Amino acid sequence: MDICSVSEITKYIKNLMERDRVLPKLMIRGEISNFKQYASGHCYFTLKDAGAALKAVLFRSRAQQLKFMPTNGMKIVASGTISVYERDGVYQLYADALFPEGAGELSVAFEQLKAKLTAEGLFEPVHKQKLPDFPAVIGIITSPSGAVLRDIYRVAKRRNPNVKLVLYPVQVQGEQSAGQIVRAMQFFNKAYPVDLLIVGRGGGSMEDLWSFNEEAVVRAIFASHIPVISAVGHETDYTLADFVSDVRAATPSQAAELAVPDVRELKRYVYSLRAQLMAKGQRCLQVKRSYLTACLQSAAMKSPQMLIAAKRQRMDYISERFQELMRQAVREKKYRLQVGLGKLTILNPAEVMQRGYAIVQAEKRIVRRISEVKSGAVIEVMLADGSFTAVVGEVREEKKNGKSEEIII
Amino acid sequence: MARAKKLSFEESLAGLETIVSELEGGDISLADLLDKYTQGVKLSEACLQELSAAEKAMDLMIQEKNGEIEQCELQIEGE
Repeated sequence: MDICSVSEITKYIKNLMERDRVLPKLMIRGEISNFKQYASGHCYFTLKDAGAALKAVLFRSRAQQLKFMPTNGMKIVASGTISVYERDGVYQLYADALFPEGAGELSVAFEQLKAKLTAEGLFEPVHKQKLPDFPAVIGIITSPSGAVLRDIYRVAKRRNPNVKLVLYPVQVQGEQSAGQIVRAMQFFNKAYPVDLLIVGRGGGSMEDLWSFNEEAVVRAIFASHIPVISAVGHETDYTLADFVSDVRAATPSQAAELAVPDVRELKRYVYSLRAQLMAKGQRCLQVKRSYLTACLQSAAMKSPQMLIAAKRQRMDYISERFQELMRQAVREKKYRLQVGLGKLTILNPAEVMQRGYAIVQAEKRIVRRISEVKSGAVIEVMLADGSFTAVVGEVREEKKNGKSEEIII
Repeated sequence: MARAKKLSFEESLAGLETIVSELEGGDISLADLLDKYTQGVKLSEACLQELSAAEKAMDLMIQEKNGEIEQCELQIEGE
């Protein structure tokens, strides 16, 4: 037989207990005694019944989550793990939650299911669907008799008289209840599409509300592709249906308020949008109009006569200048003409003849050279005021020695 | 041009909101302005009409009997 140390055997026992099927996760009913909460926040107590006692510890992080204060003599159910505290060599309950006995079993079930479904992520905000802005048809799952339906009806109709309500009547407590609620959820989702569902009932004890904590109901609400508002019990009552629904209403009236927009408010909103449309449209027009006005008030547009006068002035100037140029051109031509005429006068043979010269023609041609006349030819001699014919006498050609020939006339 | 299909209230309202915000800038041609304005007025009419729709839907109560679905008018006590 091996010899082992106290530590070794204690560790062995601890491992044994931790690998056990029951001890690591169990719930124990008992009465609290020797309850002490230390400054650290950890709670130590003994759980006992008529025949036995069990040491228990509830660490601060867990103790903070208790909704009630444990006291000596209180009958509770504790959930947690039994393991060994090696230093003292004792086994004890490491509690993680305490539930007061009485409302007891339901509370335990509630906490267990809540923990399970939380772990599955059913209550995550990411799964929440947005409610429609303006639902036309709303499915209601509740009791056909009772204040809930009437409250929803009144508030919904007051806010929108045209909203259509479709009731799927169910029992909201008792054995049949959960099954009927699940059936109703499936009916709307599969056979009768509506814009929104309200599922709920009035206030009551935890037992009364229990259907809304049933796993099947919670899962049916989770599975709904139609947005769901839950309205279970009063403001202080919370059920798992409330956790899983897309929106939790504190009361049935509030559910209707959340579900149905007030048409008068919507109308006011639409009218305000319309007013904005008109105001902004007007302002756009005004911007354009003032731009146009600015254009029109520019000097040119303001007085077209001025513009025309300026054009006319310019035209006058141009035409004046044109005329001036014309006159100048004419003057120039006239001058040149006069010069030409002067020259012409000098060259005019009549003028020359006035001075005593004569023009001699032979055979109708002007004689320029002596060689063009022959002795004995008849020539015509023109003077300024008349002419006569003559017969050529001796023809003398002028030589270089200066000896001249006489012309006999 | 084919007549556009009837818009839901939400669509009409969203359209109206868009137009109002588009006019915010003021930088818009006159033709566009008139177009948007007319469209905005039409959408607002559609919204208001939807809100005051005259036909009143009948509220119903569903009953399933042996797999058969029955619908009857919803009667509210005291209403």
